[in-house]
Amino acid sequence: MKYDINKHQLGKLVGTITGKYQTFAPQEIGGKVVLAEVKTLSNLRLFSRPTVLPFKKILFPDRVEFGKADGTKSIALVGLHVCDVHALHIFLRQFVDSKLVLRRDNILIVASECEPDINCFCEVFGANRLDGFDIYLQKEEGDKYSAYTNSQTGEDILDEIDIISAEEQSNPRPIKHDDDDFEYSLEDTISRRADFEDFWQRIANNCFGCGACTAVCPLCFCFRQEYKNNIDGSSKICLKWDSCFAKGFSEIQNRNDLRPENVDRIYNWYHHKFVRGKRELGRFLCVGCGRCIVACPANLNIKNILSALDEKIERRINGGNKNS
Amino acid sequence: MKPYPKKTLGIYSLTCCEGCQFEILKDYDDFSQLLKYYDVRNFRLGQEENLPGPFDVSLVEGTPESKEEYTLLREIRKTSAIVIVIGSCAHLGGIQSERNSLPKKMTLAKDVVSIPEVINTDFIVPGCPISHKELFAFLMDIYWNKVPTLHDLAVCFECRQNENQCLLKEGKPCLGPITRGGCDSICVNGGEACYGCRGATDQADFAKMKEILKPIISDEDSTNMMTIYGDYECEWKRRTDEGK
Repeated sequence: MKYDINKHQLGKLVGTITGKYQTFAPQEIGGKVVLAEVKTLSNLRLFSRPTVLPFKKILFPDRVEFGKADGTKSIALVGLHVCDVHALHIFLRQFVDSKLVLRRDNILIVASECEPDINCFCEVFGANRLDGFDIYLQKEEGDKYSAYTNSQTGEDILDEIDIISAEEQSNPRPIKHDDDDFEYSLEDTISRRADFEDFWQRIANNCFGCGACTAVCPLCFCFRQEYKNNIDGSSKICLKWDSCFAKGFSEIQNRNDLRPENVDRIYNWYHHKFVRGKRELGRFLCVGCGRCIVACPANLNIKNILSALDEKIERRINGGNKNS
Repeated sequence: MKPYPKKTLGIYSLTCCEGCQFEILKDYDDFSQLLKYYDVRNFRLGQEENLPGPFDVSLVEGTPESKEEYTLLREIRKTSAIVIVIGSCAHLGGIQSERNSLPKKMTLAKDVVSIPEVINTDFIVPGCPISHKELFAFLMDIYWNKVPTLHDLAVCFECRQNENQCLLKEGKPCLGPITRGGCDSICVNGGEACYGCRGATDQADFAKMKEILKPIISDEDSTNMMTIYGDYECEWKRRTDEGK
């Protein structure tokens, strides 16, 4: 369903959601746009550039005590980009058997239209498909917006505000035009490490192994248990974000490291994202949001690395650049 | 819950600004909590009556300069079960180790050496100054007979967790990628670059860091930046030697 709304009604919509759910949206706080709980509507940035940290900051907070997270509360994630919505679904599929992360039923997803920038390549993995949200907000000319609903929950919320007009049959603007052919040879190429040893070594030589990419990736969900003895005599076990670039991640007893060199670690990152992830969850653990490109202090670019590994991806990425 | 008796603690200061000792006293609530687990026998800045060792744990800050300080340092090692070096001076040599790179005619004093070059140490709490929270977490782990560990990732990881934009991408020099994290990227949160007070990570690549800094600052400046808190490379080499 398509609804035409104006700026005032958009505010009302977010207000309604905030009243019903614990709502998180991109907001400008202290000069940076971050995903945070909505307190006032004045500093909302619904149609912003991607935030540095994705939704995993909300669903999977760092340093939270085990067993203390409330698994039944309902939250709303407002202003997610479509690639993040796809990532969210893959993320929830990964944790479907655990109680660490909320269920899909407890999350209201309000996606918003994005402006593709030079770093993102969602069309390569099909993460530009407009799907998986409850409500999708699209900016029109002037102060006009359109809201598209994709579920009963979304329609119920929009019915609560006064709408000028509603259309049954209408689809949102596609984000990036591309074909639906996602058959790549990536899995095979990355599995054969021995044939590409020089290639991985060259990447590892350009990588600090700082783990910045794993901190910002919406689909990096490795964690460790941190045992903390507090000064007041109490102790607790926390969930702490981990990174496969950390020494403690691959080290076992007696200082034996399963992945001692940086080349092993960066290869493992790609292997998990594009081989193991595909086998376990049926999707690549990458939606092409481009956050790791922005975050990398060593100027490594996943687009170039994937292009070098697969001709078809290279054609799509470079072809897309020529058009824009 | 206190199944163990109090451990004895000595806090010593060699040549330095004594900022790390102030950091221990910074939050008196936390310090008074610590006194429930530790019997502080020697702490020149904090109390009048100071007893000599032996101690279960000794904290040492600063670098040894005079003959007396070298003697004291060896004495501390002999009489303490665990020696923890605290702060960049003790750990890497600190600001005063800039003296080592001056021509020998300009200075009469000997080279500044960090404490791990003089005696065997057990643990390091890095930082300039240290964070009292990190130090007290170390001491609590030791009280409960658990081996304390340092953060094993670079500052960049925490910097992204705090949602900062990369300074290097904005064309500002920063040593975050090769510096050991655990500080919660406090400098970058405040808009300042990372100067590497916590020493190098295990896989720090200095040549690569210089290459990244090349378009931003001159080669000489990047070398200066990387040696503000003592000779990074030395510390890194020593650690890799220990690993083998």
